[in-house]
Amino acid sequence: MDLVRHLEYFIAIAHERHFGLAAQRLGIRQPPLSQGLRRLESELGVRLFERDSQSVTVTDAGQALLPAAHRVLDEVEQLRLLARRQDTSVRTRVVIRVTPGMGAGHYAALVAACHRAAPEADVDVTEQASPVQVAELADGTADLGLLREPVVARTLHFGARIDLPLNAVVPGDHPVAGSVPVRLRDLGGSGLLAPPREHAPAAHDDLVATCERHGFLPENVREVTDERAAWGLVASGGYVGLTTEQPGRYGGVDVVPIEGDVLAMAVRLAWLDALSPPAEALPAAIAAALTSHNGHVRSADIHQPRAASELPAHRDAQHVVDGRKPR
Amino acid sequence: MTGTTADRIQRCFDDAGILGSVHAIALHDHGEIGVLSDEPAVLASVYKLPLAVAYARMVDAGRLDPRATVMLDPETRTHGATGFAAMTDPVTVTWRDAVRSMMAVSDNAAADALLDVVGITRLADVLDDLGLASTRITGGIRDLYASLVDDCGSTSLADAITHVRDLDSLADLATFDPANPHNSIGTCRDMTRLLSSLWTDRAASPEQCEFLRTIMAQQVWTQRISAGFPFDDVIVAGKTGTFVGLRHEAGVVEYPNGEAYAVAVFTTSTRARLILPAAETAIAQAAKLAVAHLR
Repeated sequence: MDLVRHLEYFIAIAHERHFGLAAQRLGIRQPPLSQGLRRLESELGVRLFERDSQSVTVTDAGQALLPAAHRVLDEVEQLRLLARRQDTSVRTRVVIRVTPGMGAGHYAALVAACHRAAPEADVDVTEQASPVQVAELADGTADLGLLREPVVARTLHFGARIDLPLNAVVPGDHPVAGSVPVRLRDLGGSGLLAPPREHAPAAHDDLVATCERHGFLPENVREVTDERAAWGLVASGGYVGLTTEQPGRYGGVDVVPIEGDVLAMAVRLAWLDALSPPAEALPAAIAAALTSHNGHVRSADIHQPRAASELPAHRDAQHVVDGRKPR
Repeated sequence: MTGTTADRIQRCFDDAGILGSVHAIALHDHGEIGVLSDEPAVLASVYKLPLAVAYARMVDAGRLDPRATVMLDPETRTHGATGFAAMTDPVTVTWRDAVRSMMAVSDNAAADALLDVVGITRLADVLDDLGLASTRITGGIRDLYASLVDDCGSTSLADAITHVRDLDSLADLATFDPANPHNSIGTCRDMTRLLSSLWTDRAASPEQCEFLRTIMAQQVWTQRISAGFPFDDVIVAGKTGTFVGLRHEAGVVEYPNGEAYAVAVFTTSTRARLILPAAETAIAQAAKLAVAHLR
């Protein structure tokens, strides 16, 4: 059997906890996925998932094997990279810089999409704070950036804005852990863990302001770079976090959807000049990967403007509130 | 914080997630500092500043009686959030108080009524005479509204605002594009030049310059340049401009010992958010850094 391929199945199912979604992510149909998983379980001699009509959960044995499976795939990727470097023919290098803060699922989907869309290129994807991203895109060090909104740059070209919905990360024993979806105001009394403000200052401020708008005034805001470390802090109590990861139970924390989907990590692709092959295929591929992976094109809620805007107050306020764009 | 004043000002804008430009000059000794001072921006209500100068010159020339009255008809006057523009009934007011309302609370009804009397041509002559070569005024606030309605393919301003709030970026709208020849635009450097002429009695007669300085000091908004100088003995006289993603102010900061600094700060946000305190704070901070540099 093709062990590498089957380990990809294992990781996809472990991440999605849903056969249909995992198959979609892998770009295959569900029957071969189920079949492949059975073969892998028989090959390894352990049961990796408990499944019933409702859900798919990773068994203890599966949890124990998951890190090793990740390592194998990483090594295979390294092997392929090394092999490519031995190739004497010149390969195009495409440098992609991604804003920190996306969950592992979205990040993996992005990396996979880039490699698939430009198989003939050396695709280099790493995380980078927004201010540095803008500078490196402007001076040509990077080819393509995925930046946090609001993007501040005069010279770059921009793709469509993509909103990755944010879910709440709460301790498994938090009173709201069982209720789905959670209301932001019910998170009061906790501190908020967020990526460092310097990564994207205006986005950070908007996030905290939106929490306040919906009744959640964090006791304090603590900046944590590594999402895994943040989840550990959440599990230890006193803090909640936000993530683009799918709802579910992860160790000592629960990821739960937020009522009204009021929080999102808004990102936008940016590049300097017209992209040439193979990079020109990447914006569409990345946007498709992120939107199929539970992101969506923004739809804003509409509010009545206030006097501060120097815009007229409208008598037909209700029309403004209920109206949709006329175009 | 390290780096030059210009670096620090740039960081204020970056931190707030907005594009910004600044120009500041010392009116008593001609020092200056700027960040993208010659970058054009859509003026929004800052255009009322040169319009007020045009008014002053008409008064000086005897073409307009400041005590004569104008009736602002709710059926035809331009709407707005403040002043007569926000009211329900017909208002009759003297020209000088209409100008006061236009400058102190950015009254759109007063401004467009005045523009009808002044005319684009006379306004262009004022810009030319003051040497504001990078400033172009093509119309009033009703034209700004019409541009947005047109941009959005809407039938009313209410529809257009709804549409704008639904957009994921303002960057593509012609209304906010300084390169669009239909827009009224200017630069920070031109605005400090205008303020300088107003504070040295060159813009109009000393009497009319004094009147304009007085009504600019009556401006009600304190969250921009004023917020950088929260001292009872420091006077900030300014004119803001605010329209969706545009937040500007041009004003003069006067210390009791006679030091005076003209400061213009223009900012553009790509976010269609009407309330953005971080942008207001960045304007205050930029003005404060610029004046501190000149002192």
